[in-house]
Amino acid sequence: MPSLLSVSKVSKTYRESTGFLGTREKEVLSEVSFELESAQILAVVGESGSGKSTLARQIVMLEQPDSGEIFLHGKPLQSEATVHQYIRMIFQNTAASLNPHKRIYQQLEEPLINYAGLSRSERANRIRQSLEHVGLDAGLVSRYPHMFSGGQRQRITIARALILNPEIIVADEAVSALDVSVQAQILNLILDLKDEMGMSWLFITHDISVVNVIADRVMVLYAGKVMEIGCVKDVLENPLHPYTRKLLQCVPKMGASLNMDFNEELSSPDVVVPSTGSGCVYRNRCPLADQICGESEPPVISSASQSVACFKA
Amino acid sequence: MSGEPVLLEVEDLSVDFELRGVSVNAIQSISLKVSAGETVGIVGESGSGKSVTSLAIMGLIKEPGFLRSGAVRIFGEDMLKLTSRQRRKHLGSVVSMIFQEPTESLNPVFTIAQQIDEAFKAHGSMDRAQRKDRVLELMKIVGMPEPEKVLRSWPHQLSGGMNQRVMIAMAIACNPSLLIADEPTTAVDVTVQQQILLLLRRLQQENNMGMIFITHDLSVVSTMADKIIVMYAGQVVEVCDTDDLFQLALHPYTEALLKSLPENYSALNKRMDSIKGTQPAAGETLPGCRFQPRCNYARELCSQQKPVLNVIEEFSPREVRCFYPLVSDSGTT
Repeated sequence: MPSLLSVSKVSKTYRESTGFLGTREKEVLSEVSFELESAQILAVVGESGSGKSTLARQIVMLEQPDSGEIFLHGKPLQSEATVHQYIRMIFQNTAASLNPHKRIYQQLEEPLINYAGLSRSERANRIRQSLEHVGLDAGLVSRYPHMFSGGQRQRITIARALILNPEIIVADEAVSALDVSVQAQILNLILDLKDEMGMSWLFITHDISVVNVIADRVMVLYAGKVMEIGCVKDVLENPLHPYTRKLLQCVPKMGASLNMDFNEELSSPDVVVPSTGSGCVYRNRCPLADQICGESEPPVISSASQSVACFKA
Repeated sequence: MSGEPVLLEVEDLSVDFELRGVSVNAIQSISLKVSAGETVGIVGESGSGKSVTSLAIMGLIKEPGFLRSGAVRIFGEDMLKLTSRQRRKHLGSVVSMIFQEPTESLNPVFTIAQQIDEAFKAHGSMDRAQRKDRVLELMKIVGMPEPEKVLRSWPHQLSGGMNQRVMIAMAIACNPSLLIADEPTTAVDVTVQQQILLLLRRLQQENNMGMIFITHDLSVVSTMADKIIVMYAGQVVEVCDTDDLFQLALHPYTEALLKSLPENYSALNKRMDSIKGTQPAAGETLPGCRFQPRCNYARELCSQQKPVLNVIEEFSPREVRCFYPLVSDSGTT
């Protein structure tokens, strides 16, 4: 049986301005491949600029990849209309992703009018159900977005994403802007929705402690390439890629003091840009890098539950 | 830190905002002390009054906000009684601040060199060549790669982490005794965060600076602060040494906050303990404890009377604003 979502060697290049009339091509995704099964949460982690959000945009067809293919139930993704029924997206900034001039009811109704072809009373029913799913009082639908708190607004955007009963929700930093107490509420909600509705999530985040709570699998991106992918337990407890290890090392641990003998030069992503040309993109920040890392692409080494692209793994 | 001189003393600081003729309390009787070389962490969720506290210390509260009471003494001198001209002399050279959004805090139409130079123009008596040398030196102190090139750049050409380094360079340009860092690493990646935290710690040690570190992230504050102040809805609810806080939280809010951190959950698919409800809205007044509607331990008294910040004898010098602090015998009911 084919996977729910199968992404195969997707690449994307953007043009970047280099000043007056000059442009330069920048590859932001490079042959990214992974599968997402039903009722599974796959977390995507990486620093800013690693291509996390670009990947999301390809999957919801806001953009077309330059090469590679994306399959849903084994069939290539084709029209935007079908994609929008099966794959929905939610964003970090809830204030910006809801229309401030429209009542919540109108905003939840819009996807139903566009894609579901339901009668007025059926739509009202679906809106009520959807709000109940996310734990909001259905009596609040005639309010405007600014009348809700950040956590409530994120619930509304999740309700809007749920309303067409999609199979996959792509969540781009969906809990990053929330306070920890509210973040915990939303993470619990996401786990409930996964269990009750069998929904799959592509959960993009920079916060590795969240990954531990919510995800079944995790994919680590660096400079548009997959460094490591596997079960959360394996990857977080036994990281094989030096970059994954670096990320985990940088997560502040509660009650632990700052590690002062950290090698400052090598690990600064604001100081060292990803390597270009042949070889591993991570090599100029990698403490293990030697000659071979600069000569050719690192091989992908896979076990049953974890695969890693590194010569030194 | 005993033995070090007290740099900053905030006493009974209250700030109100006047909204449509109604005065809304933003922070209520905040008191704190910072000694040289010490880091005091202020944690709390959005709306708890962390940033208002720091702005009030800097004397930057603007209309419609106003100071209702309190004193801010730096080296014994009350900052709030100074004229704005006198205060300007202190800002930057005595007390200095860095903000969350470095890219937004920098002026987009000036180069990095011009913006750092401004701090020297305002305070120092150095000539142009001396200032230029010092700006370059600062860039090296904050670990900037290719400093000459960065100095000629505009803020939009640099990454968030680089801009934060620029902000830090500006903040420490005139060797302040006290640095207030308001969520300095919230907008950057974990790897950059580690660098910024290391940089702040190094600068603090080299100059014996006092630091107020404001954040919503308990893990970050635990690695940086000697003492932690937990704020909720404009009030201080718990004050204690960092190590003690993570051993045992005495205020129910602190406990709930620690429990909602994802890093305390390792079992897959296990639900987290979240805090029910939301913080009271600005202007909403409760007859009792501000946390009572969300508190799992609330009793009758909590909704009737306002608790005060008390020193808990057996955990001294810890202070807790709760009628029933979570000391082993009374907290579990």
